[in-house]
Amino acid sequence: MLMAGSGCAAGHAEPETGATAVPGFPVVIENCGRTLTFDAPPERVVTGYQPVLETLLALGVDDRIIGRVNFSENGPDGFLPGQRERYEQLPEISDSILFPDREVMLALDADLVVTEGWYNFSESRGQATIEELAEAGTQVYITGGWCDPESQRRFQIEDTLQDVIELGRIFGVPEQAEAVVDEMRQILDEVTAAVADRTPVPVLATDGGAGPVRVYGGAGLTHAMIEAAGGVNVLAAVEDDLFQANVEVVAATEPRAMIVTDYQPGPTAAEKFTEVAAIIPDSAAAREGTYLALPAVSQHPGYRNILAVREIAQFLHPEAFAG
Amino acid sequence: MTTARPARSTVATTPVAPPTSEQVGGGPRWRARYLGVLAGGTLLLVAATVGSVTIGSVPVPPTEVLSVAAHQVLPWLPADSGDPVVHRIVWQYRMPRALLAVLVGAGLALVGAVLQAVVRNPLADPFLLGASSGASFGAVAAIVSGVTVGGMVGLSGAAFLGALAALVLVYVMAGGRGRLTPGRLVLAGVALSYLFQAGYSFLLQRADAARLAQSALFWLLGSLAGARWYNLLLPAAGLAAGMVLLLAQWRSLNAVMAGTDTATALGVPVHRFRAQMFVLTSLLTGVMVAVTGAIAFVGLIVPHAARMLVGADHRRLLPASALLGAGFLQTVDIAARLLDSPRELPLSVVTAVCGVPFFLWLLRRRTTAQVVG
Amino acid sequence: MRLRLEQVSVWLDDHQALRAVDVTVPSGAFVSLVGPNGSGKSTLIRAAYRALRPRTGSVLVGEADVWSLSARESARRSAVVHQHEAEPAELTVEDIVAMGRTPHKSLFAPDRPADRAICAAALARVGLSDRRERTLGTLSGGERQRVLIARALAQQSPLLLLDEPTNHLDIRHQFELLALVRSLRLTTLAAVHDLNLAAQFSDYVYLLRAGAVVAAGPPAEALTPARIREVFGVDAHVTTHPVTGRPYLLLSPLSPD
Repeated sequence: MLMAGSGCAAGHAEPETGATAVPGFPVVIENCGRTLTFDAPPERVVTGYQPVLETLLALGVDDRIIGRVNFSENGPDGFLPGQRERYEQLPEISDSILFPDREVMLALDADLVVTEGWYNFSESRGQATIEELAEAGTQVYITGGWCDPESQRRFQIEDTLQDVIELGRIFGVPEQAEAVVDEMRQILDEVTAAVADRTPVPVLATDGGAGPVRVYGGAGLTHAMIEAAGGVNVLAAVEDDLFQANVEVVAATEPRAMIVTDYQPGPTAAEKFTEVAAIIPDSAAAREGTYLALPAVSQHPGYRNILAVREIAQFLHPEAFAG
Repeated sequence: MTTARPARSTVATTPVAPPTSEQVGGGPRWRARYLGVLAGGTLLLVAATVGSVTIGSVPVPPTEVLSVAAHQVLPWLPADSGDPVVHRIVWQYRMPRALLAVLVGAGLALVGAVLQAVVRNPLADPFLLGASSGASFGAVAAIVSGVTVGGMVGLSGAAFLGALAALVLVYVMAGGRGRLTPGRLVLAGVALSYLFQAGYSFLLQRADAARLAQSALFWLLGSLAGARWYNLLLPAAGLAAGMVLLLAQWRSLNAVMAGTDTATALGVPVHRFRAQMFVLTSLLTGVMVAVTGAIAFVGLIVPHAARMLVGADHRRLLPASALLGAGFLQTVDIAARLLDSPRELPLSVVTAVCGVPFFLWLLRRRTTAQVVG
Repeated sequence: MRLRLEQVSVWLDDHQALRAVDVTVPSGAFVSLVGPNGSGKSTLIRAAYRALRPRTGSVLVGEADVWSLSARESARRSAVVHQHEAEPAELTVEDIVAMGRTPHKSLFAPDRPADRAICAAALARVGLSDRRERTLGTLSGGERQRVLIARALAQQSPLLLLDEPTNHLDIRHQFELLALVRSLRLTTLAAVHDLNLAAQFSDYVYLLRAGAVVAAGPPAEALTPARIREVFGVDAHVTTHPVTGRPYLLLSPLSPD
């Protein structure tokens, strides 16, 4: 299992300090309409939400990380196997899943900020904007192509794999990146094969609510995962990612299974399921209590959402994975 | 008394403004106009309510709606042979929602009209005196803390507690029973509203709340989407009690509208009356806002529109405001469900967009804007 | 019904606006309060109908202390006519006069034909029956004041209090208004700004200065030149008006003495 063990994974190329030219560099990457240029692998890296950290851990480049945000949404058991100690060793710069104040961010004097979303640079929240970071010499890489709400809706699973390759180039660990991508493809192919001949299961993905109901429509990461895992999104007709739906719209659906976003603080996944099931009591999902509590991290671009595809597939088609 | 009459002037004195045809309304003409407004308002309400239960993401013909309702109320009647899912949608969601629109629309407009007289301020609305910000604070605190004891009922409970807290605080801040002048009430209410707003804005800004902020924001802008039969009880009881108690006060309201001294001279115990009205309207507002969040605009503008149509006498103004408020909110709610289907729009967004053009039209039709105070 | 203020002192914030004043209005008499601005005329009127609470002393309407009565009971005994500016301009004359019935109607009581008859009679008394359906804002100043008098009449109170009712009225309407009030033969206490109007229409006059009564009596006795000079700072020459036969004051600036 490639992800076992803590940070110093074997097999990645160490950057050579003092060398006049690092092999593979300079690296030029286009990200969200910005051109990122690296003459050498970055040495001071700040990470956003947990999936980003998980991806960097997979690439074995976590020794460059000088700051990470907090991740306690799913409790102490919410981490991928073996990652918790490394997470606790890394310096914490924010007590929430979002970036800290502008001054804290700028004071970190990072080379590179890697994060999962455009919303982490909100001036109204007192955060540093991408421009401000750029002026301070900090480059920003946004994963999943989540540059803005529109591109967030256009996410495809392939985007996650693309991130790994690009990050591999940035950090000068292309072979490690290849290995990770191969593993990811293997997982995806395994899932595709398993569900190939099976009838897609109607799925309702929700974050709770009784009126309006927060649900995931036919665009974006959650939808892509559902479709890849042998499910069919009952709200595929709506071209939106997470949105507030009229109760009637949900009441008219008949899912056989539900996926419930899981995170704290807030109601538990079980509570959210009960709340939404009450709107569709005649559906198979409600009658049989068939739901999967999916940690919110899985719905953001990163290593984990590949794992989540398999998890969802196993949930929807358990008989395909038996034995 | 002597029967000598003072000589009437035959020379025309300069009136303040030449009477327009609207202003020279007949006693019988005012009454006719009033009845016309009542009839028109009822028609609007009925049409909008029928629309509300038949229109939606799944269109349902009115006859089917009726048979669904009849079957539910009188179970021995044969059930309609249509789709049970659709029936459930109609019964469990659309009908309570239509009813709630009537209750809350009427209630907010009624409270707005009463408060505009009591504080002698044309800008008064149900949210001026703090009840709504208190409720909003309670609701946001509940949402953001993730504590959901009892789901939506718990949320409404927290909101109502917030409204109660605001009521008590404003009352105390404005100086208590003997000193509730309009000025003090308004200042205390506005100041406290700012305080509560700061409170829930702070809660929303905290990064922990990033995910829950969207639900909280939706609640703050008001919505009828949470309407179910069980949470109609309290607003219905509140409105029934409120209507009885407030409509009966029309004389005192006319009197205080004319000023504190006039009201005192007419035998209205002004400070006590103001306190009673304040408590009553705050409770009624709290009960409604606890279920729907703060729906803006209805309580402010509908009384003005009603005043333009039926005049300022509260004997006519209060029932007219309630009726028009119900019809207005019902209509607006249909728009909130349809404009961005399948998404829900928050109501405060739509009330303003729908209401302002109509109000401007009404304003232009009158030669003078006849506002209170 | 007699009105008596006994040793009434009223504080407005920290300022003593009335200093232990004694005022008596005999039943059926027309009594004026005169004095410069700030002398306490309005304050005294307001104390008489419970708009202000005296810190000391008592206000007795028909031998009952007004503060021992309920607000409504007090309003059944005394009616007030203020200046018309404060009234909402968009109410109709009918509605305003109907407000006068308020002290007689309990919470759920509707307007009965008897009430309507009282209001109609009140309007007829002030000569505004044909203006019934007009809104207040379309009437002249004099007409508006008469509407307020009609409201006071509809209140059917034996005591009438007027707070500078002739301010802002044309001279003709000033005469007409006070003549109308006099003709009602109610116990009347009026704060009047114009000395000659007070002299012409009042049975008694109370001259106030800085919250205290400095003179009282029929106009000829209370409004002496010495008193006028002391209170108003102007010279006065008292004559008898050739047409009305009432005392008439010719006023001029103080001659250097």
